[in-house]
Amino acid sequence: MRRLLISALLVLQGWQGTALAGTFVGADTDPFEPYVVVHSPGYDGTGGVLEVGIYADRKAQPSLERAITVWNELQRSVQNCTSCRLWEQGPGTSEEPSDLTTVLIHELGHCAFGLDHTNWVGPGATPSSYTATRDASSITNGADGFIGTKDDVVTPLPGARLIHWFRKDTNDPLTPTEFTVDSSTYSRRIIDLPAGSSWPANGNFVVGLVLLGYDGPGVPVTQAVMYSVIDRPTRYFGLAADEVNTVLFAQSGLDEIAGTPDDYTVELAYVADCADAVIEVQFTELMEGSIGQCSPDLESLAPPGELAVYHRLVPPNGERLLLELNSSADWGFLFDDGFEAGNIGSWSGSEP
Amino acid sequence: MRKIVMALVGLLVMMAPGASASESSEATFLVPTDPSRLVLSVVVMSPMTMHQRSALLYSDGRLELERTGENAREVQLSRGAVQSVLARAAAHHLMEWDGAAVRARMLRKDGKPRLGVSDANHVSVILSVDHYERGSIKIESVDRTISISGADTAKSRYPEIREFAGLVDLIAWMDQKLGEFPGEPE
Repeated sequence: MRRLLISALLVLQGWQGTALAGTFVGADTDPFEPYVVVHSPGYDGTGGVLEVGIYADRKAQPSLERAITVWNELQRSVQNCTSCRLWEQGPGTSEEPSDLTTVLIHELGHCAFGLDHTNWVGPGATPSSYTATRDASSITNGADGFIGTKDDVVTPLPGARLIHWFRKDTNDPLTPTEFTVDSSTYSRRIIDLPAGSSWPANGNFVVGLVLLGYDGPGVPVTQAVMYSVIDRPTRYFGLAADEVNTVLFAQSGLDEIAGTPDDYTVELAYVADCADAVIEVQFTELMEGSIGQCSPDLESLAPPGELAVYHRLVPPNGERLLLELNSSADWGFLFDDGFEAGNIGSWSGSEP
Repeated sequence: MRKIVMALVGLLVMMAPGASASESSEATFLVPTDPSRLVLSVVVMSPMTMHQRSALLYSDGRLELERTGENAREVQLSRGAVQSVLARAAAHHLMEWDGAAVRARMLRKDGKPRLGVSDANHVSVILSVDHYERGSIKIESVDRTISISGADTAKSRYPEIREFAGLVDLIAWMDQKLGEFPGEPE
């Protein structure tokens, strides 16, 4: 088994890059601080159930509803991805259409939960599969030879900033064990890394193979949905532990302690009227190569004069958060009114 | 003998969407005569799909085009075409690019820092010309590298920052050339 795993991963060794893990948007962006915690739109420090309405036109509605279900279940799953590719592998040659549900799951991570990519963008704005890190000049594989694992070597230290949150006990982003996620168990401080870890491991699928084992060709792999790369045939069927843990950490509230009155949960819901929506999913003409994007803003939840650690997502224009899908991308649609997705309303009175 | 080509941007300003003649008519630059000198590079990369396309233009008009899924190809542009595209960049003040100053203008408008766009395309532009001049601004050797994400969103959010419009215009120029000189599928 070990030999199989090693041979499957050999081609992934030796790349320059970084590892990815649970991060919040803004953590890697000046002038925001690396320790930001981002909350869902509408959170004001009061506990309870936060309802987030999402509108999409009919064409996207069925996929959106599937993506909403995945996030509302908030289950740590394994083998949640087929045809996952790492940045270092380059794009595949498949001409399969992109999967709308997969892209929406990823984009809702940004737009509804404030999660950022788990992987590092290195010099020259080049992505990698190393763990998301701020101000690093280089990251290399550690002694295990695998990219994004807990023994990666980050330079410079001191200097590089840790922005990826991790389990204090295991530094394992993918094993789906239940635990109470709050500041007692989850951290982004280097001194909280467990013995044997030099940096947080991220949820790329190679880390998944190392942690969870290799079950043979064709078997789905385990990868964080907030890994930045989505190749055309990539399909996600559920969340990985990493994003669930990071969302649950945010939902422990401003005190970062689970079980206190400021804890909250999020209930995403499709809304039929755009005016009722917090997030609007819209097909629009994006640049070639793009498939989807989200453009939120952050609003500090700190009183004036206090350090702005806690933020919530807000729309840039004061109306709705915009989740844009490229209307020019190949989504596999033949018709543009949701017919193939089961909406036959516009045909009901037509002949023959 | 060094042959100096002077491009008067004002004559070409109509080709530069978003530029006003009054602000750009004075800009002049010298196209290097070393034929191997890279004068313009435009690379657009999607961190999500790994799709990449690029155009590398040399001072002698040699243009290298590449796009994910297609073979790289090399075509020859005229000297006038080289001047023209560089003039489009100059008209948008890209040869004076100052990232910190641009960020300050964005901050002045917004009143607070804003996030970038998640999953947006990333564009890297390199501009390299000899002497550049606009009004009181004189730069002996321009060697600018511009690297931003979400140029199209930035253009619509900040229509008054002409540099963003210039980046989108250079991408449009590259896309036009990619269409004009299509590559064979890999």
